[in-house]
Amino acid sequence: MKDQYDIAVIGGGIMGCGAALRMAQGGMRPVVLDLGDLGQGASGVNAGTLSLQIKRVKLIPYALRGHEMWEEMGDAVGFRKTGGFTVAFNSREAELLHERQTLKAAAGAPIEFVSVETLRKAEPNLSQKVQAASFCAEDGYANASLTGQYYRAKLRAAGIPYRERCAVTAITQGAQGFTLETVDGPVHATRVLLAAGGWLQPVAQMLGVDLPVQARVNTVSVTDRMPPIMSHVIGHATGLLTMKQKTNGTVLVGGGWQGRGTPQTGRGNVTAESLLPNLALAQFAVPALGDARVLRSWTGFEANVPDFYPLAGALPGVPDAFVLGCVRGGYTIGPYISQLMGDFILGREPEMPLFDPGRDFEKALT
Amino acid sequence: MSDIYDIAVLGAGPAGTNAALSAARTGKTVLLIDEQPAAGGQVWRAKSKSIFSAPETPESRAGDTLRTRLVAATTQGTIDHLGDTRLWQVEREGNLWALHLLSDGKVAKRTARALVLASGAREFVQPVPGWTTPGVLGLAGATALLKSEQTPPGMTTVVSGTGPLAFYVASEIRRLGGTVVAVVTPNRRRDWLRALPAMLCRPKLLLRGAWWMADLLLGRVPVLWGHTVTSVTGQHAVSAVEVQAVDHVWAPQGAAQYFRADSLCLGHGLIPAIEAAQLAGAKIYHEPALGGWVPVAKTDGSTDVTGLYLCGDGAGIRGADAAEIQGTLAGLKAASDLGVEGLAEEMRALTRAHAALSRFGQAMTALSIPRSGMVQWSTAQTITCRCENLTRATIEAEISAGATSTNALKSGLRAGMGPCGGKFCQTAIAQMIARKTAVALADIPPPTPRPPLRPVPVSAMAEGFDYHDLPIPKPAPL
Amino acid sequence: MIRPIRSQQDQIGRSADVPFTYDGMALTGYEGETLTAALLRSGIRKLSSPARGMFCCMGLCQECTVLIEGRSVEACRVAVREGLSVRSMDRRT
Repeated sequence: MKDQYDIAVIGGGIMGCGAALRMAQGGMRPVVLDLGDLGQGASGVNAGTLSLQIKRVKLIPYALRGHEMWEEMGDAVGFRKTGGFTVAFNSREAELLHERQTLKAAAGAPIEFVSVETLRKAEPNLSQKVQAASFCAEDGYANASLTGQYYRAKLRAAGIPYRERCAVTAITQGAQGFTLETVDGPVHATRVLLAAGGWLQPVAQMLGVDLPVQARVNTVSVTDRMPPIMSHVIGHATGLLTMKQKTNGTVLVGGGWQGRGTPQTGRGNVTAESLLPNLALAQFAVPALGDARVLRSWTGFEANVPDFYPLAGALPGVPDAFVLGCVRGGYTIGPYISQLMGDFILGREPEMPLFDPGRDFEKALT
Repeated sequence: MSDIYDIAVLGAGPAGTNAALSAARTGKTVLLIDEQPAAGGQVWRAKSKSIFSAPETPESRAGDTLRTRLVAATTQGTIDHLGDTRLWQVEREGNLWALHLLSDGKVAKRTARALVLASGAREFVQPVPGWTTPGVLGLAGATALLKSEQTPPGMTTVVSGTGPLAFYVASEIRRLGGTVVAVVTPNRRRDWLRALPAMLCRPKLLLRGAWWMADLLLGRVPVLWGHTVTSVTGQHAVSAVEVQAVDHVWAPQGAAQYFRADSLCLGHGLIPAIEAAQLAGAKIYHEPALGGWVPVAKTDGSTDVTGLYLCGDGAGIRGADAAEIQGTLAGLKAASDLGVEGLAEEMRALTRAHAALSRFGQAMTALSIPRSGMVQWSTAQTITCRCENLTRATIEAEISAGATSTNALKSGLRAGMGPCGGKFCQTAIAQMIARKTAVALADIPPPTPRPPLRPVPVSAMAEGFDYHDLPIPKPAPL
Repeated sequence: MIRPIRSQQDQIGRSADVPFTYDGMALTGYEGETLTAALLRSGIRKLSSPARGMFCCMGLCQECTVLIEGRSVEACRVAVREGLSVRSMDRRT
């Protein structure tokens, strides 16, 4: 008799692994499949920022729970609660900062506005040109590179089978359930969860579903080891810059500058056109960074749908199929929303509402 | 010169310089980029500016000839030679190549219709206990020091490694007034006998080798065939070197011997430098006879990527003489693909010459093909990733925990994420994965290459930045 | 002793010695010679903490990285000039 799993999870990042762990806890038998190594997609290549200041207002309650879970994961994921500043360098940015952070604070994020003097005492190396700043004591970062190692250990400890470098090439649905064709042979499962991040569109198409998933190609860079020059995560009112200095002295620079490529072509490419202004802005914000060298830059795919809210629920039109992804702030929120998703598939009421993938994306969510 | 070059060449060694010269000869505009101040690559590295006179060697003569030919072209203006310039990123811009360069602390960009990569080789050193001690140099690294500074790496040196480099380095140290305490090579004389037919094609080189051996013999320098360095002693500097015999698969056996020395030159073969080729889109395959991971390319240098050509040791370790021919050929191929006619006959002759000249180089490369016992040279506590101080034990534990790819080890342990970008650890790491997972080396590719190809100062990237030029992005969804 | 290969070190003509400093120590090197070679000549092999020195000699391994005017650069790619001021790096985590 062929081995039939209760659910096949396509995508071994935070979303897929988190959901699989929750489902296994609830008595299901999942299998996790990934076209690469576990946690090598967005989960493993993002800048690791855990900041409530960059979360959407409606997602703040989810992000707060996410932060708690990252703190619990602790050293195993290199979690540090450093506190975070978002800075503005001119009046337009200051206005933007004020407007947006006020709304996020109202939604429950412990964000406050601080004087430039306070900022300077906390971050003496920040540019003198800062005009306004907000602060959130809950902010910090984790080491995204450790995602794969972390979840691999968790899946193993829970006895959940997983297959790496095992791309799914086709999915058929029959009376018994789903048959997934993979490079390592067929996998049979009663249900299927699509958690393929940037690859959600081609994977959903294997089931005949057209998900309007787009992928941004975010660039992250890391420097060589520097003496301590910053101690909090730093953000920019426009989102064009994120910076953090890790305990090993290296500085990670992000900000969503766009590289080139699509998940279908396999790899995103860094472009000098984006890289140069990204690093230039970083040096503008922290001039001491000028003594650093960039050792490595890479891109990751950040998936979204037109209304920039998550896909989390039943896959429209396909019974026993589910989808989870496109979460704005997926790294922060992933551990929590994947748990909610696991609960949903187990037939339990999730603690907080999910996000119907069958919704009309043109209308704003109510 | 012009805004868009016809052909850009990366690397001014025997291959790259000849590619530039042959391309320029056809009338195409040529840019030659090289990270050293003078042409010559590694094998024909120029002396530093501190040396104004020195006795010639075959390498210095070959290098001087190459440099003279290049200077003639640059003086005429048929080649723009950017020395002391490092390529840090290569991108496609439509059907052009955009080359992002770093020179004198500044970034610059050049564009070309065709790109010839002649990035040469670097070396593989099998990690042994104490190999990170100051005073341990790579064998090929030692040749760089010897050629550019005409100075030995220490007062008393053990020279150890596979292939001809060990004997070359030993003879050069002696020629430059140093003392070679011992030459230690895992190769046996029978390995060299196997190479004899190929060596007979190059009688001059064979004679030179015989001369080196005679000198070592008459100088009473111990030559330990079928031996390897198994450990280096010394806390802040080398003080002694431990040596053991090896069996036919190079596994250490028998009693250890010790040699007092203040320096060790250690190396186990050359490997193609493939990062630029990978970034440019070339595929790679595993061929031990060519040095390990090699980019896919034809003899004429053409690849699956339109407008991308590879030549020299960067396309497979075939030696300097084959590199010169292949460079010339690749330059002509690139020119011919850009419309220059009448090159077919010359290219055919070069192809034939390349095959003949590759024989010797490949026979030399064969001497360094890794054998299964080498992995035993590293103990559990031997540092394998030098940049991140990761021991063999740490890496193997992570493999056992399920990190069975070079990418996964990089993410989990930072193995290959340090300043060298994995250049000195990935071969040994792949060996470990192969051993523990029973997967063939050919199925354990190196990690995904990432720019920059060389570290770039943030200050170079920030030069000329004006805050007002920042794009004002659409505010993120609230 | 018959020596087919004799030392030719004394046949090498070099430029003048110029002063430079390394971690505050006053040293000299031949003008234009590679910094790592000059340091080697002065008996300095350990170029950083934890103990590392020059290894690949071609600008790849980054173990000879030193600080010159606050900027990190590979010592094997720096030419000695008069007044060069060099500091070693501490890479311990």
